[in-house]
Amino acid sequence: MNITIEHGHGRVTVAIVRLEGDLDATNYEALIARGRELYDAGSRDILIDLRGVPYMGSSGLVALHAVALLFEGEQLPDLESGWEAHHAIARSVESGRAQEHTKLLASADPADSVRRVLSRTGMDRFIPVATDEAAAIASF
Amino acid sequence: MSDPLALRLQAARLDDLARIRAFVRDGARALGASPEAAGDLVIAVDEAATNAIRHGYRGRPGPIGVEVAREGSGVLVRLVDDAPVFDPTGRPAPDLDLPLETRPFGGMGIHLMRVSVDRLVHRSVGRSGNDLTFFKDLATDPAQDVAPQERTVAG
Repeated sequence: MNITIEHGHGRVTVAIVRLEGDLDATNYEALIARGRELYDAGSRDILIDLRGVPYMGSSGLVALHAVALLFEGEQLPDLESGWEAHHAIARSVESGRAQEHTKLLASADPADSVRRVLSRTGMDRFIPVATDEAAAIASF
Repeated sequence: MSDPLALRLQAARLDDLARIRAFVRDGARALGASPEAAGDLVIAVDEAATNAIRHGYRGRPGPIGVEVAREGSGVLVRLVDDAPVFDPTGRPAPDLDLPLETRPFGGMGIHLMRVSVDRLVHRSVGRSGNDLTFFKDLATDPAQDVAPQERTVAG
């Protein structure tokens, strides 16, 4: 999987993370690492472009979940701790607060494999999914 | 059931997941599945294979066998391993209403395994080993072609 970074400009500057290739158990941590790098470098809004991802499994969902929390200012465990550490995260909740700094760009086809994974796991209810890049950037 | 297409990996690693996905996709398509139905089988089998390698074999190489066959009105995929017995069919369903802040990381693999296919059956093989079968009914797939196309599948 290739990861490239661009920036879009609407009301705020948005880091656009473009993925090309399958997102699975072999590379999901690379996405988290890039998200962390962007956040540490000052990015506060991120659009993850999944249109070039033919396949995304549950490991990819972990990466999206982690990046979304990261961009809400949450602390994440050291990646070296591995998969079990990701399971062990617990945090306090500000009731009713919606996640607003991470959005996804995906195919407009609801039958698209990535769209189906997002839908079947309910992830698309908590991380907004856009199909138009310009509109997505303007929505931040 | 038709003669199965078979893939045998003696020392499967996470790097083999792409090969397993391609085998399932190409095999299912060759047996008449629509791209969507084949994609659903890929999702389910990939999650199971990932679990076998990551958790069952604790990240070390281990044998995995995959078979794809036509059965009745659908396509059947069988995944066998020598990992400790783990039955995904009995695990509780995750709460999909949990927001990101309280939703546990992970845990969606088994859920995807179950909701992506019409039937999932687990058998333990002796004291160690799992035999999972995934069935996708093509007759109920709205995206199904009327006339499946002949395709060749690389072994």
